[in-house]
Amino acid sequence: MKGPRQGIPCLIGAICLIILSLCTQQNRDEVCVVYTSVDQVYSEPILRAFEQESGIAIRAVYDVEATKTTGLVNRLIAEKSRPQADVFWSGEFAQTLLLKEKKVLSAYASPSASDIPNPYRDPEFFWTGFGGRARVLIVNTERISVAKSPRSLFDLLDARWPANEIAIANPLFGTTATHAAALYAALGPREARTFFAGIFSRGIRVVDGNAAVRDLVASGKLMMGLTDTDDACGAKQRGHPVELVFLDQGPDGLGTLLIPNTVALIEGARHEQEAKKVIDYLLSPETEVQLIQSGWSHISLRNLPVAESCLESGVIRGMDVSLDDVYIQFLTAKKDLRDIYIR
Amino acid sequence: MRAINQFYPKILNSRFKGETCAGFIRIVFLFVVFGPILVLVFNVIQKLGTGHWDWLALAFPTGRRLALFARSLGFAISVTAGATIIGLLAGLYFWNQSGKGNKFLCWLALVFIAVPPYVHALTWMSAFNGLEIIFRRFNLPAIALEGWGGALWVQMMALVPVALGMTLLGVETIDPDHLDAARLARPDSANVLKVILPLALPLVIAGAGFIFLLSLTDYSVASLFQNNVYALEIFAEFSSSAESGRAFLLALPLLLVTVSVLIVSQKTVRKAAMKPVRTLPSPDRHFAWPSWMRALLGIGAAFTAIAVLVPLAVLLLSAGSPKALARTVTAAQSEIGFTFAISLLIALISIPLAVACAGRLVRSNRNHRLWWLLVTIPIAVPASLTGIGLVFLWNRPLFGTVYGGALMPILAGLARFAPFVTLAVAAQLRRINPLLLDAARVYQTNLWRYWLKIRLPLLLPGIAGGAGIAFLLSLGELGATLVVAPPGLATLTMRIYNYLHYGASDSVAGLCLIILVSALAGGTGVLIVFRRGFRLVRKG
Repeated sequence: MKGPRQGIPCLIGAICLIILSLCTQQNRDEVCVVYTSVDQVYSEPILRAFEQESGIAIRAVYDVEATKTTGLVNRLIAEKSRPQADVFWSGEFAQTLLLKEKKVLSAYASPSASDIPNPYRDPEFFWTGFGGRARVLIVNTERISVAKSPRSLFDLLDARWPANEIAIANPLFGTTATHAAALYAALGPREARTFFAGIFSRGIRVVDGNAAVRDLVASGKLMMGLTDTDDACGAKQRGHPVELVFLDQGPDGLGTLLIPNTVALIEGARHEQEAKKVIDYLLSPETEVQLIQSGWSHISLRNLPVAESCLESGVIRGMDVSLDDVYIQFLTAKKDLRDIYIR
Repeated sequence: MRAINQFYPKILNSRFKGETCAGFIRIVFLFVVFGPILVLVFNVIQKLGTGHWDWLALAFPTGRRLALFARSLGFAISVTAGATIIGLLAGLYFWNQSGKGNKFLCWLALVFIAVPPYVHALTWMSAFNGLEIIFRRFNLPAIALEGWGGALWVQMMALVPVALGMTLLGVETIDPDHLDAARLARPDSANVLKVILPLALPLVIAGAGFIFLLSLTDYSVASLFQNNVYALEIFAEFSSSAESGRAFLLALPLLLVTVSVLIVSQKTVRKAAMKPVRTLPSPDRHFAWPSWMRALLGIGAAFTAIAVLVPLAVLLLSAGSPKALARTVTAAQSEIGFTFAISLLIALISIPLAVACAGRLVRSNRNHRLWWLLVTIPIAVPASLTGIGLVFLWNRPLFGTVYGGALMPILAGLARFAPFVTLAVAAQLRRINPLLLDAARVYQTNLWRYWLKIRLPLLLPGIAGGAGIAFLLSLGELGATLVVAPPGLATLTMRIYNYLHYGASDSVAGLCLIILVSALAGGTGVLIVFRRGFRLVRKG
């Protein structure tokens, strides 16, 4: 029987061997490192399909909502001097524009993006939008009928709908923060600030994230809430008694915020050629269709004729603001909302 | 005289070798644990140097931020008080029981440390939803789990296992001879207050320090119940400015409070009567405590049982059929293996780092205060910032392929949890009579034998407790791991949070059960290794 005198050096040796093996990265010629904030359940099948089609191995890092968007974007900024990622695929656009400002991105005009409308492409080709989600009011149909639901975002301030039956996600993080910045861009900072001050003073419930809004409404604990189409459609497809209401869709309405996915090449990417192939693949019409069919995306920027089971109305009226305008208001909105909300 | 002349060079030579080795390990500790923080500090200084002097205002909370800070402190203190009292009562109850069911419940409670507080919160919300439906059926008023009350309950229940673990560690290391002597002098009821509690209290207070820290730096539970805490303010700043320096300055007040609490809680760990764990397994004992005391301790045990069984039941019910659970396990195979491997390595590698540094914390020289700061500051830094510090530190050509490899999550775990192990070992070291060690050092000239036969056995409770906590916390780590996770590899917690957003509660429950099983397996494995090691040591 071995005593501890033999056992401990063996254990130390084993640990050293494991560490050495962990230190060495897999070396493969055709590899591309993708950082993505799109839910793994939606993005992984797309990336796997690309791997099969191209023979290029994808090594992905997936973000999670729980880190309050401080995860991957800050990692990319910290890695700027010696980037590990080749491609950044975001589920929205504000963080991508922040990365452009921080000089983390490199320009690439993908041939696959030629038919994507200009408002969804960076004029200097640092990023390109594709697919997309929208902000939507999710209502529990057992608690309130769609006909009696609010039609405008400003109805949330109306006493006809009880404040403690409505939820929004924390407006400092995620797509709710982007939505807030879009309202700042569309209404002007003063009016937008008044709107949010009204939301908080009314006592509308501010919950942890869009998923929490979805769950509270789907379970019937709340009547309605603002969330993204992927969350609302997911609940609907799982059989919960919910419907989606797109706000401000009238001729004089503000429209709802459309949130395209964005993809960008990283400055100094180690696998630039492979990265460009990944970007071309993600921007292809076929991928857009796949994303819509999987339930992540609900809007085709190219107006592709895809049957979308979740949305009944075909055309969604978007807010008349450019992505750059939204980004410009991003910091102002966050500063204001932090003062109003975190108390 | 000739004998002494022959003897001393041997001692000096082996002591020199020992010190050199320990010194090298201490440098590794400082680099791995304190390095990321140091890089962040340099980053702040650099920014200040470029004219961002206004940033300094972030380090001094005023107005809204001061109120938020005060409220966060109040919340953390309430959680710490509640969890520590419940854990203490339950610990004494389970210690005095010999039934296998009690032992298993106790063990199960400890592995719940690995489940992230956010998941605890979700299971409690589900449980209260279920209760509400039942209450409604009987026209009874529902008990709402919301607001500060809800956050307090969930955070307390999530952290009770930490208090329980530290209480058990405290009472298990009381010298049985002292207990026997005390029982001859006084009735059992008096011994609880006069002997058992004072001897166990240092580790209980150290546990309270950990609970305070974990509660103060976590925003997830409070946020889920629509309450804002100071930790969320740091994340809001980091998220909007993407400047780690600003977030670090904002975290400074939190850091100051946490470091102070940890230092004060550890200072209470004075010399206490204890024996090395040669007595494992503990002799069966049953104290004849009065019925009121048994009832009080029983209440603590009941709360602990609730803290464990309710989330467990919710997870089991939510995980779906065994087939669904098998599908979840199959889909997460690589994450399970990866998480288990890195958590085990973090726990094991923490041990030499902790043992080498713990001695510096208990020495009463000028440097020991500096060592206290070096060990406690990393604990109080928010996980995401530690992750960013790791990127700055390790993403350099000098380190070749280390950055981007699977070693990075281990380094993240070490940076976050090796200080916990160090504090646990230091707490243990304080309780050992230094004269015993000096005497052993004189008579045992072989360095290996001295360490294996004397020093390690004496330190073992601290090592086992600390490494166990590091293993369990590593299983649930997210903030720092996400920032340095190698492309293509993910941990179980990363997958859980991904599914949480997607709304797949069955998969989340399945993965949480896997974490629990991993924690049980890992914990039992560590216990077996330590017990076997001791038997070998005792046999010589």
